[in-house]
Amino acid sequence: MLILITLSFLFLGALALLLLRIFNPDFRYPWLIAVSSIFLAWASVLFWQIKIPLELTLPAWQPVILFPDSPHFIVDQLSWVYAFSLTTVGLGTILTAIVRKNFPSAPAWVGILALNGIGILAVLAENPLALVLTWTAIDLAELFTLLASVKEENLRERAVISFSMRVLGSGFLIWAGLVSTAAGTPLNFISASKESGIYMLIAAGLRLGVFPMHLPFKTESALRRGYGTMLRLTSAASSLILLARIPYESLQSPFIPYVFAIISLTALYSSWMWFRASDTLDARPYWLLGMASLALISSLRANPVGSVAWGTALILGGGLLFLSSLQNKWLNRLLQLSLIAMSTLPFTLTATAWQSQETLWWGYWFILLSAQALLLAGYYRHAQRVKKTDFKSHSPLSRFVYPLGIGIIFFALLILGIWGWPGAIKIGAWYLGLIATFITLILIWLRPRIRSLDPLEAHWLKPNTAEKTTTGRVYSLFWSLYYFLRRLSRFITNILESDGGILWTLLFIILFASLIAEGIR
Amino acid sequence: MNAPLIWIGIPLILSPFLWLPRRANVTAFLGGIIALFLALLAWFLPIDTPLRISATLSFKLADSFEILGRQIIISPADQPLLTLIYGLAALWFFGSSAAGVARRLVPIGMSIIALLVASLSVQPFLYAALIIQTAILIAIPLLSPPEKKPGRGIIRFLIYQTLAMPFLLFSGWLMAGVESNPGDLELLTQAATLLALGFAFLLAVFPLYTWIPLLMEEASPYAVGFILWLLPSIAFFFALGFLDRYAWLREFDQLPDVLRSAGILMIVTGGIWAAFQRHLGRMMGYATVFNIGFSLLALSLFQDYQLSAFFLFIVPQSLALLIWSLSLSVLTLREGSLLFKSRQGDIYRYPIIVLGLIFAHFSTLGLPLLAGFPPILAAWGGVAEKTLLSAFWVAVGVASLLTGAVRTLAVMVMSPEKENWTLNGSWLQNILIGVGIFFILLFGLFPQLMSPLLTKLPFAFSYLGG
Repeated sequence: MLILITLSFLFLGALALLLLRIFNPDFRYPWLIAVSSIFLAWASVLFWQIKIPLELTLPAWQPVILFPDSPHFIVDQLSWVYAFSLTTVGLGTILTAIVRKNFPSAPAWVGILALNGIGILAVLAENPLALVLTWTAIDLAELFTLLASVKEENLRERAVISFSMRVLGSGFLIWAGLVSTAAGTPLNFISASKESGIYMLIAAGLRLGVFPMHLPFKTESALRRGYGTMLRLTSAASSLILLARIPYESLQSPFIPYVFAIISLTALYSSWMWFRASDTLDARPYWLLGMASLALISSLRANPVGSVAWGTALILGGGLLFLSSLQNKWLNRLLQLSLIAMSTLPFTLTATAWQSQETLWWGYWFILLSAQALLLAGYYRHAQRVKKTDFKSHSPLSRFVYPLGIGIIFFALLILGIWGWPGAIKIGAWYLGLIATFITLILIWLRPRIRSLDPLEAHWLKPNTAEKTTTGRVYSLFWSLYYFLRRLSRFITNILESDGGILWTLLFIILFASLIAEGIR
Repeated sequence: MNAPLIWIGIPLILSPFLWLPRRANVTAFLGGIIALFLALLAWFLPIDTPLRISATLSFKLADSFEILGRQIIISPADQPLLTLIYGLAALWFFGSSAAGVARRLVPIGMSIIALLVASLSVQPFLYAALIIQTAILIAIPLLSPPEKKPGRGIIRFLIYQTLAMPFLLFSGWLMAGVESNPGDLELLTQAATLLALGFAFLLAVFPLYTWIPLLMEEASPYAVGFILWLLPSIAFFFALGFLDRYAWLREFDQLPDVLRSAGILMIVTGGIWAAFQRHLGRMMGYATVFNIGFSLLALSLFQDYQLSAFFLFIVPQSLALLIWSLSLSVLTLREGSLLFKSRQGDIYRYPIIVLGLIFAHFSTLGLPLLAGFPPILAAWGGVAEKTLLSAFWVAVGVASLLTGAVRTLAVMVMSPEKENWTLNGSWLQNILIGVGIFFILLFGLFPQLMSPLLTKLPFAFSYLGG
């Protein structure tokens, strides 16, 4: 019931805004409706804590003989953190909208509220069926939003590519279910066959863009800061929850060590790119990729709580940074202080992030701690580079509400370190946190002193596209295969559809008939 | 009064009168209402049960009708099937005006449906092959108007469908022998082989489906869509009749393997061929091949799930096909060509029409949240339990059809200049497609809504229905 109350606040708020937009476009208080809806939803999510675990079951799919599982949603300690993070970022997004140039923007708020509702359903998914349904809802929302908002042809194509990769990710989750069923263990988030874990990992990796590493949107300034941020973070949260749900016993494939290596390198590469990037919004995919890789690593090390810690840091830390657009001394300090929550030091949100019973080769620690430090140092740098817009030029209400939006996300980052879920009030692997913090401080100190760490923006330089990269070669190999298959299919089609096609068909039929007759005998 | 007169006689008698109205809208509306009325009657009016109208008056609808020494029997168990056929036909008829083919499709379609219903009810049931052949001949003017020269697709359609008839008649003749002499392996082999070939022609099993893409290029997509919905559906019911009737066929060890192999062949070839098409109509044609493949696959699971997996496909597939062909017809009517190069950026000019096209395509390939997903998941899961290799091939087919969908989507959003959104197409066209999209989403999220109908459908087949 409590889940339904939260969802009602979000969906009814979105519906009310939509109806007002259609029937009363001059309505003056859409923002108040949006804020009230998301605030009530946020507060109701806090109330979930009283009655955890909570469940929501949709009417059972029938016939039951074909559908042993129906969409089912559950609030437990892990999914609550994600739901809380999402509503917090949603609240922050709508509160900070007051200073945006496009204010008021009711359609964007409708999108944010609806997306928040779907995102919450995704993180509460109790079985793969529920997860795959909510994933598709998010994918379709993203696809149509992008198609409606971008005008450039190449960006439209990228939207389609991004959608296909995500659908492929959903496909891998379905395949994991089939593999598990074939092995005699129907897939759910409690038990799964050992063959299926790798496919779930690939599903999450594909959707997050980690495995294989791909960035469908290298530049996405076309998406607005508010809705764009919400979209990216909701999409990431819905995929990250899978990492916390994969049963560790299912991750016993012989391919896992290779996957681990690839993810580690992805973490290092994306954190390096994030650290060196000059534009925060353009670099957003690297932040998502880097933090998501660390979450994947935690899952592979049998630490679902750690994976949630990284995931929550991705959402709340990312939300805090990407929504910040005004310069103010105190707000900048909040941004810098938020780094503590991501430092993996004791009693912080990420205290449990590096914990695990699994031992790890020292070389990996070098890569992973470097990646974490680069992400944090990059975060610090991006926090410093928030555009200098005059804070005092805004109305008194904006000057009060905007910091509230930023502050509430910061508050969530801190509070989750000490309350509300299994990762709270934990000491964790404090020595690793100390090392990461130390490297981060060194990087922050070195950055202005070493030129190669601080590249100047060079818009006038055209990237060297002539030289083929490894990824480029892989893609060209893929396209060669595609064109070969296309030629082959056309050849066969031409034969079968030509005037002689009937003869060919009859030949096939005789062949089949003889095969069937032999089979029967 | 008897049931065959209501569900076969009335539509056959009314169909010539549907030529009379001069306005296509009226024809479509009348056709839709008649079909809907017949569907409702099939759902509510009991057959072979006395109905007490007043203290002195009662009424009983007989279940059979004799003609030329043959019997046409519509039993109470057939009623859900009639509801399904006439209910879906009503949707096709209502949409025909928006597709611009109402004046041909409604009268011809009505008589084809009546004949195909007769084919399912005739005794001895071997006469069904002849009635199906008559229906196919009647379908020719629908697909190829008299003023137009018939293309290769229509001729091939006629040849392949006609070839099915002798195979089925021969196999039926041999089957009577098998029943009386079940130990005769030679006879059994001949009967089964001929039956398999007959249905391979009728269901357009690989490589006998070349007429489908050709026809999609030549004729109105809506008219072809109607035929591609109706003929395979009736052919499947006819095949179920064979399976239900002959125990030796039902218990034939290799039957599930044969059905599964044929299904996978259809799914893989249909999917792969669709992935490389540059014509939206041909793409839909191959998607229909894919649909038939999944129905065969679901049928192969009859020993485990009876017919529930098979019947689960009917409504989603029909709905997707209806929306898809309507969208294509609107684009053909307004723009002419369905070639990729001519349809770039259409999503900005025809947003709802193109969304209908895209949603129908995605539903066909089983994208989660859409109507096609639950049945595909069920059938795929059932196949995976048998053999993971087969499930893998199904995945290849699905991924290939997804490639086709992504290509279509990419073409639709591809526009050299920055286009602004405009809503083209008539209100009727947009509303019908919009409602279709809504139902695709509704059945994707709540497949149990089809349950009242689906639970009753298998009773038409006493042994298979369980």
